Amino acid sequence: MSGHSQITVCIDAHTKTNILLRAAQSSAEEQELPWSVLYVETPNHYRANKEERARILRFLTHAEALGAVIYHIEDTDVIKGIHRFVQDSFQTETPVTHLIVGESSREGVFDQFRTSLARKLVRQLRNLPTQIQVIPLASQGYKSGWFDRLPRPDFSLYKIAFALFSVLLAYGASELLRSNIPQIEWKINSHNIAAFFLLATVISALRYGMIAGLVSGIAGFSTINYFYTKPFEKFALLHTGDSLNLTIFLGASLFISFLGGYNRASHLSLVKKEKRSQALYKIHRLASAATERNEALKILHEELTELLEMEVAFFMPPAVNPNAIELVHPQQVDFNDADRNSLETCWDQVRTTGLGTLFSRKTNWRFEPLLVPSGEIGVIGLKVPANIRLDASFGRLLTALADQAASILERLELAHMMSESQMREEREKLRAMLLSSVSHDLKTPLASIIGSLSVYKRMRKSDRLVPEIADELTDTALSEAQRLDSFISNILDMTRIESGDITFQAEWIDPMEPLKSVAKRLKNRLSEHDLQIIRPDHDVEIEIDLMMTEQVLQNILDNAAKYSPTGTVIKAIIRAENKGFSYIIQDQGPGIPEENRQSVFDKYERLKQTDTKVAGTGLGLAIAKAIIEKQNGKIHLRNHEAGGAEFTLFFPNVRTKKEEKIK
Amino acid sequence: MNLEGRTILAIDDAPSILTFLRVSLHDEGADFHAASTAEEGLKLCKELSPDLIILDLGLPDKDGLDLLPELKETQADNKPPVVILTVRKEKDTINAAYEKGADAYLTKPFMVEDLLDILDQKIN
Repeated sequence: MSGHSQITVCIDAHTKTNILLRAAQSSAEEQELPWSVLYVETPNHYRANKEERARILRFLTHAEALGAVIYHIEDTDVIKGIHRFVQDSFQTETPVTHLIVGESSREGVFDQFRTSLARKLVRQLRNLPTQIQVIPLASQGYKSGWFDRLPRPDFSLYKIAFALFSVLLAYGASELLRSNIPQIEWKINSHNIAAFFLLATVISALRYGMIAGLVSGIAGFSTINYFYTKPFEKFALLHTGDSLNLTIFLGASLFISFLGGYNRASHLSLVKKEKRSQALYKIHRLASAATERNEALKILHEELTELLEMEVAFFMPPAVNPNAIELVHPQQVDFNDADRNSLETCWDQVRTTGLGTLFSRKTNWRFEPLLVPSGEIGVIGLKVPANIRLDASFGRLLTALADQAASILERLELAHMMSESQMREEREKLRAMLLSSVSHDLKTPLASIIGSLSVYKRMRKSDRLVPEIADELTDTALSEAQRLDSFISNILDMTRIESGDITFQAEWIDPMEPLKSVAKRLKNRLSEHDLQIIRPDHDVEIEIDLMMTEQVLQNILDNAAKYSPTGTVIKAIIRAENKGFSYIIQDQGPGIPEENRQSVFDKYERLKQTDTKVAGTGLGLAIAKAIIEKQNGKIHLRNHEAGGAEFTLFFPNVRTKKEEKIK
Repeated sequence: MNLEGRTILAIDDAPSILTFLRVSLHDEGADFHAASTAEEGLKLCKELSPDLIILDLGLPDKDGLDLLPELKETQADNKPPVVILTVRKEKDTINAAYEKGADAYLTKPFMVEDLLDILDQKIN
């Protein structure tokens, strides 16, 4: 059987479709069958909002990542599409033997009478040998009815007082009318005063909702009955006409009260919705700017607490145990056993639990799983205060909030993982580069030394070694040995400076001092160049580490000698300014192209080159930069007007010699 | 060992390596030529049709592994043996070199006798 059938799961934009994907994946693994995901695109798809379409795309991508084959077909109707797909599959190598569909939980009164898609499908496919598994998808778990739209009964004294006052006004108006028109006319029109009272009811209902409307209506009814119908000043009715009038009045006031209440509730819910969506947008904006999980959680927590006026808590699995769930924000919440049970049910079964749901009701908390395409990442919990009644829109709001929080947290998690792995990769690359570069730089001079000496020995043995050849070979070996030494010293220096092993000792010295000693040390190297030192006309002192600064000057002058033609001038200019002091070294070589001017100071840049001619020297500039910067100085490179390279070494601390004498 | 009259071209960017190679191969009687860049090496190879080429892999203008097949293609009838001389000793590099037509692979540093043995083997 295996290899000749497949498990197919049908999906739509339901927020908990992940449960279906997971079920399909695990059955596929159990039965070792391939699995696929079927999405039937109907004309409704284009009516679906952007969010739903994006969600479907997310599910499909996620399923593909889990190893599913994706089928995206079009049909006029979902059932028809699935039927056609399953039927056609029996003509192929992989018939659909196992079909998984979700079924939304039945929420409303009418849902009980509606045949679900899943059931229709079972009926449609009964002639095919396909086994159909229906998985219930709990959504909000709250039954909403028409009464949800009505306002909560709240008997505020003020509203009732307003209703009674409105009736009083109507009574006053009626009495005013009675005293101002002739008796005979009043007798004929007395029933019309009902209009005054009806007006009072309308105003009460519109202004303060159903309860106020009802109070006003009943009070109006009683007032008319008592004062304006025979027998007067008694709650009784004598004439059939009056009974009819008053019944109509009562009916009308009841109707108006309900209508007013409904209208007011709709208005309130619109205002609430508008406020919520503004708040949601604000939360999204704030939390999206967060760069770190705890920061995002803090913002979400603050904003949600303010928006919902409820205690809010976030739970996520600890790093050590991805199956457990624990509080991550805020630091502490009061939890009893029932609360904890409810939270765990929510986490384990990936469903909304707690107050107002069908699961674990013995708690004041409401828990909603935080779902992302790759699964469940945590739980958001809200402690619902006793005076708040949950309505259906609360469930929807909560789902929306959970979705938003989940996507923000997921984004941060991804970004975090990405930067971690990028850094690791980069470090690994650098390490490999350093290793191969160092081995190249060490081995090349060594190869020359060993090669030269082995040639020397061989020729010596066969007695063919003439003195000129012997000199050439020993000179090569010697100079390569020196190069090796300088390279090793450079690497050691760099390491020591970077690790902070070298401590700098700044002292006030004459800037000529290091320049003179370097010139002396490089006498041979500079013998074919003309080193000109240009000093300022007044004596200054600078605060530097003498030994280290000498090394920098040596590196730079050595480079200048190496890269500029013999016989040219190398200038070392000493320039003192108000804010600091500079050594400027100019050569008449080819200069350094603009694009390389930063990279010559970069020790890693050096590693990318394999050119053996400059082995060790590139590091020299990196070392120079490190030394100068450790002394709060700056090193700068440009090509001067005549074309050669110009290095500027800047130190911030300078004083004239006179100053010191005054002190 | 007799390399009398054989034309050998060495392509390496380290002058000190070229120095002792020149000394030693002259001493063995070879007609020695040196190049320090890939471009120069390819030009000399075309001009000289050497009997053997010594090639370093870390050249400033081109990877020796890329230059290797080009050197082999310079003459239609005569594919000169190529001896690789490099500090690189990763398995992947060695395999790649042989795949691209290298005839021998010697890692730096080395004793000159080892090189001469290989040259003898490849030329004679």
